[in-house]
Amino acid sequence: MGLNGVMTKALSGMRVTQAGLDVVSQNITNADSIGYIRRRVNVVEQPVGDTSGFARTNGVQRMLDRVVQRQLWNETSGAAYTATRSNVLDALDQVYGPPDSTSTLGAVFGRFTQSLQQLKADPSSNALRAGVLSAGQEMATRLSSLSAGVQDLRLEAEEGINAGVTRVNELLVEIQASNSKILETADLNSAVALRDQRDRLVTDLSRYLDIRTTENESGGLNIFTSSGVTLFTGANASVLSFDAAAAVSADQLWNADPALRGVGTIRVQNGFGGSTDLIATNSIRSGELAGFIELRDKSLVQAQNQLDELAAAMASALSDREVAGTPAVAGAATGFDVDLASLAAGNQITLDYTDSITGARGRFTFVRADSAGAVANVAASGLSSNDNRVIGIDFAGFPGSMAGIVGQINTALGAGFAASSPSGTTLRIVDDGAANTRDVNALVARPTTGAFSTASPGTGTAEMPFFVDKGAVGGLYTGSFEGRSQMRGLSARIAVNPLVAQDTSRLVVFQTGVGATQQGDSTRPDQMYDRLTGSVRTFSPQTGVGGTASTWRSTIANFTQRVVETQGNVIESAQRLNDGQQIAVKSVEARFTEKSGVSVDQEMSNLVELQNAYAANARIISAVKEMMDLLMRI
Amino acid sequence: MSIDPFIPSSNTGRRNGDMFIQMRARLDDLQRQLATGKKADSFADLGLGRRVSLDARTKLSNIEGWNKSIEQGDLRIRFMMQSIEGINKNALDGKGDARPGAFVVGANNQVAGQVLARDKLSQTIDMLNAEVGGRYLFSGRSHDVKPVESINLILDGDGAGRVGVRTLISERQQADAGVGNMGRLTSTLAGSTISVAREAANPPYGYTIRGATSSTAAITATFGAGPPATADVTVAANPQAGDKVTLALNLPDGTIETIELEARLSNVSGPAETGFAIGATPAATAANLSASVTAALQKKTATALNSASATIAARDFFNGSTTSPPVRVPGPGFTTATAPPVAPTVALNTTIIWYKGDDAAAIQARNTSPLQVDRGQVVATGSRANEQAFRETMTAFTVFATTSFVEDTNPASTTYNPSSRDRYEGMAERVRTTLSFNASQKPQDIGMEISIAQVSMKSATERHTFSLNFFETARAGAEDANDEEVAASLLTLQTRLQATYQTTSILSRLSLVNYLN
Repeated sequence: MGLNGVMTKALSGMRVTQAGLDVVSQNITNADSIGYIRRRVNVVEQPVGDTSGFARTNGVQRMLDRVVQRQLWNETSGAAYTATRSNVLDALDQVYGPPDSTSTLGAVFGRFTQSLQQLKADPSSNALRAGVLSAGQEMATRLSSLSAGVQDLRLEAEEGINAGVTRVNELLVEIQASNSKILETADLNSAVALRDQRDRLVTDLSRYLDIRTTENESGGLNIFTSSGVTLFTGANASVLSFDAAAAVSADQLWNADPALRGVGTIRVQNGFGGSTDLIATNSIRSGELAGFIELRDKSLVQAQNQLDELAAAMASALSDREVAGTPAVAGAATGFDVDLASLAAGNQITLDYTDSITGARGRFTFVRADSAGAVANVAASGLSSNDNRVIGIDFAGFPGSMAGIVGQINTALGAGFAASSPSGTTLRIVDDGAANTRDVNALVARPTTGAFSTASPGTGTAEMPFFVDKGAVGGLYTGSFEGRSQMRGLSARIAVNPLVAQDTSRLVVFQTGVGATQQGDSTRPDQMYDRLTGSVRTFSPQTGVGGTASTWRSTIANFTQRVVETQGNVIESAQRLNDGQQIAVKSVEARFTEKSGVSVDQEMSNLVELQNAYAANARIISAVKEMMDLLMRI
Repeated sequence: MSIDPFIPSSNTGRRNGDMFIQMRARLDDLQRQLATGKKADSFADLGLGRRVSLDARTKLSNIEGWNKSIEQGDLRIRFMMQSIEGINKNALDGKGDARPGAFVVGANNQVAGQVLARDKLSQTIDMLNAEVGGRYLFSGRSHDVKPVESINLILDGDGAGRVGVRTLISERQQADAGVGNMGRLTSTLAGSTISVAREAANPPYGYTIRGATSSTAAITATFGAGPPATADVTVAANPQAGDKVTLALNLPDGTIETIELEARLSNVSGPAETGFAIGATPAATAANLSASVTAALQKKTATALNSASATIAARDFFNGSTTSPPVRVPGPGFTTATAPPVAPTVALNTTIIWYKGDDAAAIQARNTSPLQVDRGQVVATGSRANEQAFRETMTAFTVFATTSFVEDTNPASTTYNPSSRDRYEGMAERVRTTLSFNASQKPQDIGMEISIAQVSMKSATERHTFSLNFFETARAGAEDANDEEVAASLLTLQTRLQATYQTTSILSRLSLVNYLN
């Protein structure tokens, strides 16, 4: 070993320290760069023969923990999901208003019922009649504005999905470019930088979707959704498509059937020229996109359903008569007869029964349908629950023939009941008599009253169409399923019948001519008040109030409170979930930072070390030079 | 929706930043709580208090509604009570006005009490027409209809086909008096027997014989219960002076009158309607007695029956309503009318209908204005001008006010009135009876019933005040911020934030960079 060997080693040491210095400067420079992972130079000894050799750099290492990185991607998806929901629902919270505001649903409903309380006390007062009119209008307007608020947020979600899909496609293309460069490059240093860039893009992608990645031996990356849909394999980036709707209304819902779908769906092209619907297959489970999809198709739809049910309940409560069945006996079987003559499309017949074996009470609700399509719409409406089966009955042939109706009802009822038609348009439903497995408790037909008053003595009814559906022909709300469910989106279309505004005495007078209603008769205001605050009605499971599988029975007044309360709960739990998720993502980020973040202090101490090493190597060279000089002078 | 991109190396700084933002946000929220006094500005932020807040607010809104109803009803009831008290006082005073022995006829052939009665009738009409804010209080459910017609229409009709109560009274008086003022009875003498019976057609007018007695065996009085009831008086032998024959009569208004005829010696004179002369033979005595019966019946007709008829006719008039006009004696030819009074059809429109309001029989007067004062409590505050007590009051005043005292001594005349004083007494007695409301509804009964509603309303108000406090406390507990608590939190947070700023500032200066040179 000669001086030359020493010199060469010292030079290799200087080269290594220079490389180290380079990495330190990279670390310092990029300390604030997005996705930058701290780097370190690996120095190894290059043995020469069997003796110690030179120092050389063995590539630049990224200080990265794959497990933490996966966690980070997971939690980022989760955080984006919860943040999206929380943000949009916060906006919904604003729509519902602060508790002490005079415009909350409860306050507006309260004023409406209060105005009726006043009218009850003095039915002839024109001022009080006008009060009921304006409070009713305010109620309708408030429902419309809430509905508009919900639909605005759904549109926001639709646009969010659209923007998200666009961004995902961009990211996938960028990842593709980055990935190919990584595969092509030989330079270790630039490969590290490219990996940083690729990981940064994947982190970005994880905000939109929940992803799973695998890396092959050559460094190529594959990306799937956590449900297994391929987003990126080696060279090929999938393209997602989204057919965004330009406007969104309560009627526009997502459906697997493109013909019935009112909003967009996300599709991805597969290798065989076909495409997969990612929403139908429930493939996106987290991230911003999942958050928007959940809002657009579930949370906000439920909010809209609640408003629609409330609007429908108010309209029906004031306009639908309750025609109780008259007791009927057929041998040992007992039940009721009820006349179906005045039922309009969508009007209901309810059958309450007790299962005498279990003691459980149940209800069948038969809905008048005038077409096979309407029967199908009833089935798809989501109104049915275990304790209240809602079934559309095709009234074809009515009123001439009851055979079809009786047949359908018997099929729907199953064993334990017998439906028949004793005469005309009368329906009779009796239990199974001696077998005693079922007891029929009540049979009620609920026809909508279309007129305010009648001149025919004794036929005026307290019910009247106070609220109307602006979108319906004739304006009457009957709960029809012809073509579509009339209830859907009703809260956006509900209005006080313009005829009431024309003549507010209609709030009191239900009989004209002989035996005309007196101006001070409180029958109608009494009934309106009772129907809104006292009568128990059923609210379908799709409102989510009282569970998603059972029918909620309460007064309209109570339901109004529960709507606000449920929304408050949903929003609050979304906020809590988000708070929790943000903490989770913060803690993963902290762990990630610990391992992969640049610490300036550490870099500075490295710098000092490298300076010293460089100086030491230089000192060796200088010593060798002195020694060489000494040698030359000899 | 934007999430800050994650920069691993500057994460510490970002976390510090987040911390500051959160603390500032908390600080702002506390400040808002202090300023608004509210814990939260949305239902979501209310947390567990949400249900309490919503329920309490609904309850408060309901109670507010009930209280407004009560307030409204209370005003109305005060007005009604004023009217009822006024009517009650009028009735009491009216009874005093019709006191016996006060017959001093003045101008218009009326006594002073009658002028007062007309005035009271007019006042009563005004009080029954009381209104609050355009709502008539004594009109049942027809708030928009002024219930009672004007006094002139009621008394005298509109002069255009619709007659007033005065005509009805006159018709009835004629029908009850019959031809010759016999009160629809006939008295025939055959031999020494006087037979008193109803007219052959047995008209439902005039007297019904109630009984016949004699104080002497010389005269037998035989009562035939009928119907129609008859009385046969046979003079078998001449009675002694002072013996009496008594005939008891039912009048159409339910009162009982007796005719007492005393046998007088032939040289003692006296009015025929109080006694008869003992003749030479029983047959002559019977002839005297027969003349005396006729004279007595005629005088009774002109006095007591006249007032009874007026009372009945007025009562019938005030029983009339828009759907069932008052019953009237079929006529003309009233003195010979044999059919009972009938109500002309509504369409004929021949009689003034004094009460225009709601008169549905199916609903009680009190229930015409139900006032809900609580969820399950309804008080009845309605009233109708045609309630019995009001009708009777009107009847009494009308009878009193419409009678005039012009003497006419022709027994066959339709205006036969031999004694204004007797007629006055007969009438004043009936007015007093009517205004005594014996065993029938009194004005104060109506007042009592309404004041029961008032009491219920008062106790409901007390209950509401209690509930109002309770729910207000519950609402405040759920919604309102506690100032002390907020201020304390604010101070703690401020201290912590300052400490954090200080520490962060110190730490940020601690970097190796600063010590390398």
